[in-house]
Amino acid sequence: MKSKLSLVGRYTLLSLVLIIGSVTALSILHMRVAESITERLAGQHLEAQMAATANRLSAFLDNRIYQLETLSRHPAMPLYLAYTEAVPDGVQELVRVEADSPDLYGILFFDATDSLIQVVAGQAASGPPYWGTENWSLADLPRVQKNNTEIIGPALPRAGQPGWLLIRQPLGYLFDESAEGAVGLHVRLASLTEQIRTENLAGVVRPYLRAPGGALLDPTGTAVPRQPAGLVRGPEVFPGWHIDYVITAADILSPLRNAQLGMYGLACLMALGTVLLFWALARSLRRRIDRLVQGAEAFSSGDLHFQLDVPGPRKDEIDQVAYAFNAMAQRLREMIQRTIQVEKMAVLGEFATGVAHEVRNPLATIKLTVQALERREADMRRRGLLQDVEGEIDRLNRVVGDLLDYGRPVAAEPEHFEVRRAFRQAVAMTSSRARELGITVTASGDSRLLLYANPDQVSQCLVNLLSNAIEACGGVRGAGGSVRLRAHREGARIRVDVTDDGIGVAPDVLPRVTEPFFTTRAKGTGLGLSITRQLVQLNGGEMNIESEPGEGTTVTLLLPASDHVNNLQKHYHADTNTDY
Amino acid sequence: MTFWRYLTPILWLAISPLAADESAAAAEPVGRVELGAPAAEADVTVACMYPMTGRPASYGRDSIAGIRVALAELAQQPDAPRLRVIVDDSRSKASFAVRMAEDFIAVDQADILCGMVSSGVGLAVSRVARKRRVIMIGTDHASSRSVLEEGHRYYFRVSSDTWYSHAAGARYLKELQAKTGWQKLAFLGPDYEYGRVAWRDLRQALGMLGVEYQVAGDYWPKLYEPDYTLYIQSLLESPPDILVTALWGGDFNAFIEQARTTNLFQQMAVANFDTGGNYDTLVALGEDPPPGLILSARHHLNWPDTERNRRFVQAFYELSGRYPSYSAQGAYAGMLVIAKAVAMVGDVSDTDAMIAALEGLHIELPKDPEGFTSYLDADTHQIVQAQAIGRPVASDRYPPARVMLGGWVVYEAELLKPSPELVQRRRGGRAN
Repeated sequence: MKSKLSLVGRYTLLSLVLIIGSVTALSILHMRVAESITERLAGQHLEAQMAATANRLSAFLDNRIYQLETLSRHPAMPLYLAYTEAVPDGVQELVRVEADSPDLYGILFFDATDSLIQVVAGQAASGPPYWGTENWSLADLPRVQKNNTEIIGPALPRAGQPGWLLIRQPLGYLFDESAEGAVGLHVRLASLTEQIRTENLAGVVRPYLRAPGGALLDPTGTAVPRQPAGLVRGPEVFPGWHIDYVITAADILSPLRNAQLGMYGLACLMALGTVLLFWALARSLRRRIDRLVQGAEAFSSGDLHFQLDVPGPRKDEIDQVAYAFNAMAQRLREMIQRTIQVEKMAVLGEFATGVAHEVRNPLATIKLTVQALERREADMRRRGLLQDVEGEIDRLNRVVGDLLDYGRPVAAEPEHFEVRRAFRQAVAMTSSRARELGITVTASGDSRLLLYANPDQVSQCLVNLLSNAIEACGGVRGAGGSVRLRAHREGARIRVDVTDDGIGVAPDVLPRVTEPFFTTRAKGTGLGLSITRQLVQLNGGEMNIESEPGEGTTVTLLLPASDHVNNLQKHYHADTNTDY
Repeated sequence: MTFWRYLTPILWLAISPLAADESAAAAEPVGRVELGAPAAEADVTVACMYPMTGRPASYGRDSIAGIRVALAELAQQPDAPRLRVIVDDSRSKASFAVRMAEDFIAVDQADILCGMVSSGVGLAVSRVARKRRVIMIGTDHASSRSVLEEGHRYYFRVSSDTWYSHAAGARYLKELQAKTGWQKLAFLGPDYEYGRVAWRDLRQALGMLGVEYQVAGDYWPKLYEPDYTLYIQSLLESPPDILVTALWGGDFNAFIEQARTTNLFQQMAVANFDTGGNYDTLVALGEDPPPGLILSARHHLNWPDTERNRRFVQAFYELSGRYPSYSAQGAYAGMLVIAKAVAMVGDVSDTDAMIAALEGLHIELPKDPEGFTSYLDADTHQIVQAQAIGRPVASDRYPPARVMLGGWVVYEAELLKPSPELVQRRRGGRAN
């Protein structure tokens, strides 16, 4: 069953809401800050700045007018109009010094007909009218008048020459009061326009100087060809001369606006990325959860061997669930097996007790009777038959004994003993059968390793394993073959390997060889390995079997090592291929 | 108030002692100094005017040091005439210089006027020289108007003028256009005679070479402008591909310092063909000059790499403890030219003979590459010299400068010489 809105879908929706909410909040904050900056930059401060700029421009013109008055009111100055040669050196010096002002090109004198008659070049003088008067004229230039001061121009920049204006005052003739000439300051236009620069508002307010005649000049004195949009008429500083301006807050705020657009773009990318990420995440999550669901369904249907894939290093939450699921399945399998085993052992115990009671006593009676008959029997053939019966009774008795041992195991009573003791007993007890089949039994390893276990049970286990190994070797060749016992330390335990080069065990059979009553031999009871494993476990050990058909089998016992081994170890040395 | 403010120093000038203490002037002169032979022993009295105060003062100081080097060199020649050289502070003002020139002629009996850094001052003094029929040797001020429109028989120039430097610059720009395809050109020059003529010379030279381009703007800050913000802003708003500037000395250094805080140098190449390669600018560039600079000057420490040039640079360094600006080489050349002409004529008071000697005079100078000798063009009275244009490259050869010009593109002198037609056109048909 699929939910309408998955958990991932909810997270996606929540993330989108958070992103959009954050961007909206930041956008509102940005707009308020931008409005505040605009207000601060172009609002309340603008008026004061414009007034300061107008004052600066007026002061510049006033200074020039004052400078001009120094000349126009000088009593010797009219000599320039009619008697140039008679101008005293001191007066010429004065005029040259005044002309050397960095804001002037020079000082010009005009006669009564408004013709230029004298020029005094200043520091910035160049070209006409100082060196040649061609293309230099006052005609067509706008003129404005205030009191006795006339401003002519501006002459706009052209042909690689900067612009200029003329500030002029009348100059009387010495002996002709009816005629009037003029003296003028030839002023750099850029010196005037530079006064409108707005230091503090640079970038926010763009000032322009509107000159008589309509020309619009920027602060460098360059004529602006097209009137900029949003031009505002500012204060008048001289008749016809205005400071106009354009508020260009957009320019200074453009980084903020760009940042805002960038923020929107980034938010869109983040939203898109989030959707894609969650979509991919949802796909992956759904696939993995589907697998979990599939496992749970298999489990519920009784398939306890179903295993979920758990990649090694990932180990995220889903992996942990899968891992726990697998572990649960395995523990459940083990628990069920243990339960079955316990129940089986309980039944077997009862059965074994019953059998022992019902079979052993009659068998003892039968054996005594057979032995008595045997002693009195003279016919050797009959005696042989009776001995066979006796042998079969013994075998039957052993089977019953094994059954009783397996069904009612005796608790181990561990003690410290050397492994060679168990080896020696086991080899001795199986040596006759080994010789009979021509099997070589060897032992190797550290002969003095100490075990902490029940020595009789360990010996019994080794006898069982050696017997199986000898029979396995005999089964493949009939004669020959070898069985090797090896003991060495492995951590806190002693490892004992019983290895043969016999017929081996088929892989499909191997898991069952320790089950009770399972045997591949006609004369086997199927209890040897079951009892061995049971005894090993009773002594706190483990038993593993590895086998390769046609190559042989190795049964490994891991038994507790004696604590005393640490104290005794220095007296022993590794000794391989030691005979017992 | 204004009258008295200016009159006081004029009166002070009039009553000041004519001979200054030479030992005091030897350090860092800021007023009148007299060099060379005493008045009674001198074969010729040369009166020079250089700025010794304000932003261009270093040019005046270097010019005086250049004169000292020349006098020391002449002192090693037994047959060389003995020069008496008077130097005073023109304050870069025409009014001061004109008054000073009149006094030099009237009071000091100066035989020859020389010097001037500002073209405006140079032209004003040139008019005095013409009026008083006194030979004038221009060593620094570079307006080509001095030798063309305003040229006269008493005026000679001994360092490259705006025509030579911008004729070379125009050729460089033409070659650059073939490589980069630049189209838009802007000009930024000081608003006075030198800047105006430099711009006109460049446009005229580009026109004669057939270079097609658009003028993105021409800007005219005043001389010694302390703040170029307005102009940098305008350049950034309508950026050209190439900005040619005629700002010089402290003005050019101040412009670079301000412009390098913006991205102006990333938006356009900046060329200064007449003064930009001066040593003080190379020092100011530091070890990390802005990109795209194309520079030249009227003299270079490391070009031409000749024994003559190395000897001059070394002599200047040993005398002053610093390396020379181009103005030093101009003043040095002026002294050698005067000495050679006097040696040829014998009597400096024979002005016509002196003029005849100067016209076509050949003289070996530090700026001469191998196989070429500078000479004064008989028609224009302008010295004929090759021009080399380069770009800043790392060099510790002349500390404290961390860069020098390199990657030279050299234009031969005869190639740059104004044609007779151009001279006639500029003079309006008037003969010199």
